[in-house]
Amino acid sequence: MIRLLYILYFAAAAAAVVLLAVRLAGDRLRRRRHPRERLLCRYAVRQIVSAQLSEEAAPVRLPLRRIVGRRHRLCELLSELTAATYGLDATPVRRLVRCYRLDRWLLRRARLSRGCRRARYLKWLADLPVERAAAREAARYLGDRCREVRFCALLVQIAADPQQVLQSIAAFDPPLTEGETAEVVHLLRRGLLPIAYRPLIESENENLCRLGLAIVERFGIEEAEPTLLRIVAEGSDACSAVALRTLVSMHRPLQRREVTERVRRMPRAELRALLHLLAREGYAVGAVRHLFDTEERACYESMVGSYKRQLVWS
Amino acid sequence: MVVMLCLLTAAATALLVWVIAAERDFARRRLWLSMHGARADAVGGIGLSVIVTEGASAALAEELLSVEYALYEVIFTVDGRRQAELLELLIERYDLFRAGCRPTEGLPARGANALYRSRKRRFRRFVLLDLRQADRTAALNVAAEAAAYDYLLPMRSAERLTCGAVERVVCEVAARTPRPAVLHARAGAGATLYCRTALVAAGGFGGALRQLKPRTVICDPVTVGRRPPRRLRRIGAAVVLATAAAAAVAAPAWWIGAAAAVTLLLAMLAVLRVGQLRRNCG
Repeated sequence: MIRLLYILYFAAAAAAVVLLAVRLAGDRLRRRRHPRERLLCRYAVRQIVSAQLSEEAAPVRLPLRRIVGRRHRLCELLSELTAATYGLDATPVRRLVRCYRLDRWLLRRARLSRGCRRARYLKWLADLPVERAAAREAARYLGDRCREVRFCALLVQIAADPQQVLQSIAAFDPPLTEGETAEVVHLLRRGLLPIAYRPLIESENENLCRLGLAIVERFGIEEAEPTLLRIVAEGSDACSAVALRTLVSMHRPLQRREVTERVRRMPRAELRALLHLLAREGYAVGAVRHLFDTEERACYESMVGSYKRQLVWS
Repeated sequence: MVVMLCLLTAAATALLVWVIAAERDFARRRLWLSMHGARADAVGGIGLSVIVTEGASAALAEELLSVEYALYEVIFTVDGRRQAELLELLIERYDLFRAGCRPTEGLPARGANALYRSRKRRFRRFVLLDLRQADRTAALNVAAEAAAYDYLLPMRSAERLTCGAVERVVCEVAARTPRPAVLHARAGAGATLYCRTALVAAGGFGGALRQLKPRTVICDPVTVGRRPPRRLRRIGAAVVLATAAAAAVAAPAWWIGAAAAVTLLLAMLAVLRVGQLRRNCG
């Protein structure tokens, strides 16, 4: 019996050894092929960008036949290209997606994987011009256990149907994190997100409010100041903190009743963080004197002093 | 023999769990690399202050200042008496001026003699502290007082940031609500990121840091130390293989020897695979 157990253990451990050895060797081979593939990919990028800038409808010919895992590399390439460019014609990319059946391939890979791997394939799918059929198939991942998968499935829905972007974001549960909000704002570069911030920051939905605040901060929209002050005074703790930070990052004057009352409600730790933010943004001591008590004022003066040249020292 | 089988099984299970955790973190890292928005912007206004208390040099300053993340600064602490040449070199190279230096957070920070900042905009993120005979804890507290951003990353001598480390830790912090008070990177040189607010509440670097919550652990390397030279690694691999062969030959029965040998091989491959994943920036 013991002998049998040992043999079973040996078989299982040997299988694990073989798997690990295969993965190690595969990774090594991939690294060896990497310089050559990088050259081919650089050429492919030039071809795609030329096709996007050209007015002719000629098909794009890519030198990917000699690349192992070419669909994987192509998806990675197109994702990077989409992130690095703005407003280019999507027709050549759409043709490539149809020619290599990238959307089917990505959905199949997502189905066969789990966790962050699945999320990555969905993210790549969201970076491509997506058909509604593919988005419907990806919609089942909106209820996945892994948060990253749910968020990437949301990005696929937004990419497929930009008209419904606000409804999709409002329905996403739980509230978006800061990283996810930044990723959604990044969609502005692809023209998928409206820059109309007003309905967003005036919305009761926390996700939409955060998104609107991120847009206001990104573009420095000063005319949103009255709404920001209202959110500082009446919004939830999370949104009012973000609104206050947005006002500071836009260097708006802080001599406002709403700001004073909000600062008075702040816990000490948050207040100190605000002092550091104000010092970094270059607010003079006199401009924020009214917000703080004597101790905080002295602390702020020291912080501001650490950015100024000291002419006399002991 | 049963005990030995249990030990071998436990060892193999632990190794496989370690490899799976490293694979999962590698997949997570690759996912964050594809999240361009989270990497491109100063997410949530989260900033990072890297603190170097030992092994400061001009080359290290150059390397650390090459990080492109917007809300980021590098704080060097040097002893002006013992490292006068280095101090002069850094002041000249980065066109530093002496600024005011008074503690603001109430940390036990002694020995601060001067704080220097750069006149030039491109070196605005470099801060130099001149300390006198301060131990590491005191130096870290002084640097924490001078830090401008929310998160502090102390680095030890001969440590280096890995590729994309700053963006990676910012993404990890931004992915959690509430933000973690401590983020520990188990791999590499074992870096720990502290939230300044929580650190001050705990009384600084000499305080009750173990009680800071919430804590996050990632298995990616944020900093790396010196790797053992290639010859040592080859010798290590040869020793493992020789031990596996000896176990196979000297065991009382062939199945025991085979099980011990395959466990040793599994250990070696697991170490290689985890090292490969952690070195790969994606």
